Amino acid sequence: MAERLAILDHELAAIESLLSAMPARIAEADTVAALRLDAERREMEARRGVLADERAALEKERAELAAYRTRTVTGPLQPADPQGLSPLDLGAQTGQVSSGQAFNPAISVIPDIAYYADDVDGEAFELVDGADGFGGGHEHEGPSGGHGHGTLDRGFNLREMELAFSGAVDPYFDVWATVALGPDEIEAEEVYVQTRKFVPGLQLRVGRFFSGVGHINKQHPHQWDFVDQALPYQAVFGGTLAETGVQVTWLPNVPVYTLLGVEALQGENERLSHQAGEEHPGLFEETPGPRLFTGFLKVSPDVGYAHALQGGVSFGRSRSHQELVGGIEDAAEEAVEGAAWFFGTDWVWRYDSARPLGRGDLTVQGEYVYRKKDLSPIADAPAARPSRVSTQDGLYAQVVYGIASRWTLAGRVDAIGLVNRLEVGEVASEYAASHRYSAAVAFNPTEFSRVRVQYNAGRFPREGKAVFHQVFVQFQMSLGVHGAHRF
Amino acid sequence: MMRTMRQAILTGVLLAGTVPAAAEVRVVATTSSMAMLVREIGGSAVSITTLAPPDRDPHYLLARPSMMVALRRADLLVAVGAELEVGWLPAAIQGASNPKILVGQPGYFEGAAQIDLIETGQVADRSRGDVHPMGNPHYYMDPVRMARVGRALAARLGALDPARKDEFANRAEAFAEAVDERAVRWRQQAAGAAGVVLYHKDANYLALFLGIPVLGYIEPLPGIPPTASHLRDLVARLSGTQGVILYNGYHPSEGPAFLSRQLGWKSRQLQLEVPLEATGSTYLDHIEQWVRASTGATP
Repeated sequence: MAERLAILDHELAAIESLLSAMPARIAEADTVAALRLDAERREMEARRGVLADERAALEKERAELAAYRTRTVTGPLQPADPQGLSPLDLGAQTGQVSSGQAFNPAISVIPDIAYYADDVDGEAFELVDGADGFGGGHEHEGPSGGHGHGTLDRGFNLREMELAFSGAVDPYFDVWATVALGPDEIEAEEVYVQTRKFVPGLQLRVGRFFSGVGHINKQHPHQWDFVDQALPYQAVFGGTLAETGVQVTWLPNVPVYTLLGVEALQGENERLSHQAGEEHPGLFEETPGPRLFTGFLKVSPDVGYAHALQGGVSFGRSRSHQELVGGIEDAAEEAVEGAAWFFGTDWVWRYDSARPLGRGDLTVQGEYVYRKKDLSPIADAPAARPSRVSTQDGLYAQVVYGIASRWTLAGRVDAIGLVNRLEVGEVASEYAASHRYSAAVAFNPTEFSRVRVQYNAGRFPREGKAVFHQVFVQFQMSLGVHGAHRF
Repeated sequence: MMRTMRQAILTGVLLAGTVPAAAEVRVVATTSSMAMLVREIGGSAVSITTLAPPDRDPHYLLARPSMMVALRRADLLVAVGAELEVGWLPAAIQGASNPKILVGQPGYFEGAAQIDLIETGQVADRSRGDVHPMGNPHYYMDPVRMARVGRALAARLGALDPARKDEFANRAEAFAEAVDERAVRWRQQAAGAAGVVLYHKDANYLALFLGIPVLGYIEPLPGIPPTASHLRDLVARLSGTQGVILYNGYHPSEGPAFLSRQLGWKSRQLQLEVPLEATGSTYLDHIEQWVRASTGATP
């Protein structure tokens, strides 16, 4: 005990002398060093406190021991087992100094529940999925429609529950992980690592993520302004373009917001870089990844506090897309592969009225995307077959207006296949365009919850079922850390 | 003495070789109150960009691209903190990819971290509204706390621009003195004031500073718009007593007007934030306006 006291006294004296020299050192040091020294000083002060506490405890114990030695009465000084459960005197604390669960990442739970009805026996999603020229339409290209993303059953649906985790790994990296738990699947929507302090203006992202192309591609379903995604996305990418790969973005130090991004992606998208080798091993050979490369540019001039304007262009090229088209009996003749590319542009204008809880806020946005697939018969096709070039496009325009505090009214027009052409060799065929019109009313009790009612009318010229109507009622909650209000 | 001079000359020569001699510290302030403080302490040695306009609720902004442009170029970010800007600032910082202003770096300054907050330790449970478990973030309505934040800001600006360290410290002291000078009179003015009903918990620091009781809130819970039953309860509880109703620019006036009619109290709408180009004296006048309104004095 005496030795420990001596050590403590010595250390305390050392800290005192270091601390007294600190102000002078800080005054002489440069900016960064001064801040570091200041942090050091605070640490030393804390250490001084700890040591002083220990010293005081030891002094007290010494005094008690002295009293014990000189006591005149017999019998125990204290109850035999004051701590309750300590059968043995282990001579020291058995506890552990631990931060416990304090290193947990930020967590959010986002349930998305929907009621759905339509007037085409629940087949509206199949109609959308197989729209002329995009999915399993007349030309039977690509994997057939079936259960795509965002498909709902008539009645009640737990569309998904999103679990989001994020946090800093170390001074250099952040990790974001979003897992969607659906009715019968668990899907890693996004799991990526992003640099914290790379070169100023540069950010590197590695993992599985929503591509930065377009405006709404990077939004999760709970960030959409409608229950369902805009039609061009469903038609061209089969939903959100989510891929595993690398993304580099650069925000140059210029007065106007300019974001440049390039991505090298594995290319697993069914509609752009489908690899059919697994389904038809004899026919196709897998092209090694990365197979899909994209680039995007966003520009946003500063137009004051009340307004925000952003325009963007995106481009993507898949170096290998494989499809089996036409007849089934002699499949080799119909196996085609080649390249696909797309170009898109996106525009957003937002007006932020100064009125409470979103009343009077207005957002107008629109996007256009153009896609071309240039496919040739596989090399060892038995007979000479013509090449297949298909060209399609899509666009949407939407308006969201804050009709009252906490209430928004939204309208959207989608059109796909305005350009809708298939050229097989010298023979070109044109297909009709498909349209969808949507209206939605949403009530947002707080920024963490939303109830939305939406009506869709669709006109998809296919197999007689040209027109359909859909109704959605959606409940969306966000439980956990405060989500960001991203542009 | 000689050594210091030589060092000063050397530093001067080195600086002149690398950056313009009178380089400004580029500061981004989240709100106009924080911008006021930066302007007051930094003077002409800083350039300031304000992210949130004074007429909008800083709880509910959107991380706009122009915020990222400002943060991309910043040497120092001055935030209110205590999660007031939690809905948009983290996204804006993340989008700016400027390593200098990340949390924990010399370029990140949060006023709330420099002072003690009130109403800390509330349960982090959103069934009680938009609560701030770390404490009430509206300390910029307390001039004494703002003077304290000013001193800390002077130290930080001094660390970023050591040549002007003393200048910043002196300006912070001058601001603190100006606050002290008026603080006594404000407290005297407020003595015996009956109390205030606020729309949101945004003037609690001022009420505490003046010693005026807060009798109730128009909002039933933080961030939740008033309901008829809550307003009726307020009327029932407060009828027959005295006080004034205060609410700020971005709050709707229906609730305060109803309460004012029912109770026969005065109701005043004031801006919570100072104007964009406000200086220290504008801020003190702004507080003066709130003091007069809280005591029920005619504007």
